[in-house]
Amino acid sequence: MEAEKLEETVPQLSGDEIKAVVESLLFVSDKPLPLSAITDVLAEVGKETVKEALAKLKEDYAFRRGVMLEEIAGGYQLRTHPAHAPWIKRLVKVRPVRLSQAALEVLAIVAYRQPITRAGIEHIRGVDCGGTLRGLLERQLVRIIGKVEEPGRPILYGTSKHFLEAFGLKELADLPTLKEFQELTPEESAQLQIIRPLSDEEMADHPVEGDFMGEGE
Amino acid sequence: MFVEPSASYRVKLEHFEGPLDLLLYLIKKNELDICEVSLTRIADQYLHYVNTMELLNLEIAGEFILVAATLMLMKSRALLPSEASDLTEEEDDLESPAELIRRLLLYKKYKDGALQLRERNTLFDKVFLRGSEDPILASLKEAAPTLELSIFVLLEAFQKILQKTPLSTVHEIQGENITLGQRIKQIYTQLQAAKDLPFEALFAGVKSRSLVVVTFLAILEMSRLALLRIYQNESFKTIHLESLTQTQGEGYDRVQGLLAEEEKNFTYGGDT
Repeated sequence: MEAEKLEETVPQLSGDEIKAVVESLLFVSDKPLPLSAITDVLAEVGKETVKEALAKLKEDYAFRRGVMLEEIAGGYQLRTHPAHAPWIKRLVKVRPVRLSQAALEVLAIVAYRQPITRAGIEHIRGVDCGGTLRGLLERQLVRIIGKVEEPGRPILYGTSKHFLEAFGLKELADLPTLKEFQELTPEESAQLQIIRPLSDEEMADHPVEGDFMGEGE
Repeated sequence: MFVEPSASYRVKLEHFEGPLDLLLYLIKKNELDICEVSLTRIADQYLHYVNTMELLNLEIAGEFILVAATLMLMKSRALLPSEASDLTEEEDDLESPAELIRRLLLYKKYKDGALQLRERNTLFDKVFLRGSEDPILASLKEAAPTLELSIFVLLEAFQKILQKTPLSTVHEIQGENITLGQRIKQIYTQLQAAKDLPFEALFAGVKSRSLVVVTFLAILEMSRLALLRIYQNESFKTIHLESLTQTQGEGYDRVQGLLAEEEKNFTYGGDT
């Protein structure tokens, strides 16, 4: 393997040591750490070895531990176990991130239908969403990803990388698929636009990273 | 039911649920399926809610009225022998019954999507990171939402209390008029002492309908000002109000500010 070739020229790291180094890297990062960042640092070992180390680490953390190793927003991150939330909340006074029902609905629509205009969101909810959308932009869960090339040039919204982090998602395709309704006749359901996870190509068209205005395609 | 704008206080609910939400709420409450027939069955209930919102002078979106009109149309159609008319089917608006049902189903799908998001292990609520402070949240001035249940659940509780209150006891006593700010101050004091109160407790001994209305508006406004949190432990169970101000001073300043502003601008004028 490629990794073995490299190991001849650098200090040797045992499998356990690699795992430990990866763990320390994860510990110091405050953002999900992409695989590429880890392999860059651990240049002396191959990508496959790093992946193996991550998998082992994940296993180590899987049972009776306070933290878990999770794949979030295209990277790896150490997060506390959900079951321990009550005790953590006693220790650290954090403001709850709970979103209002309206905000969650707008967020769900944006997440599943992106890129979407404000009018598109309001069409589904049947009510004005301006304030709610502004709140989501402020919280950086939603971001502007472009404009439609038509009169008025309406703004297109999509979810941000922070959205994936906040909801513990690896990528957009990780969103649960939405159920269709049983009561619908085939004709009726054909009328409805079916929701599906975005394909890789579509994901590439609407990257979740970057800051503003993914214009000019 | 219209209230003179000058004599009213308009409570703005920024993140208000829409007419489709109300319909789905009623469908669920009545254990119905979404289809044209069942929609006509809840038409009256829907109108009752819209009337309540008007009584409270809440800012209701025009869409609520539009849906009300569609429901009435559906109801009248159900009563009359059917005459094939495809005219309405083509409109891409909430005005056509077919479109309304289609939109309702579409909306339901994303509402379920929102539910799925809510159930996830969200950051800084269920799972935490080292350091555990969300830089984005920390930079925001806006507080977390304090209305933790559907506005329609709250409206329903209000309707029940209103029903128990006699329509009009002889003559409305002039001296009984109380401004929204004054009522907020009363509730604030009450809540400071008790920390947590059932919703109904604030209506105990309230005999006039106008005071019921003012009390309800006060609760909504206090929720908006993050003075209290409105929550329910389980659906269809007691609604609770919890004081959100730890120290006496913090919330008191906000209440005093409200009273001062009120003196400048408006007074809530008696029965509607």
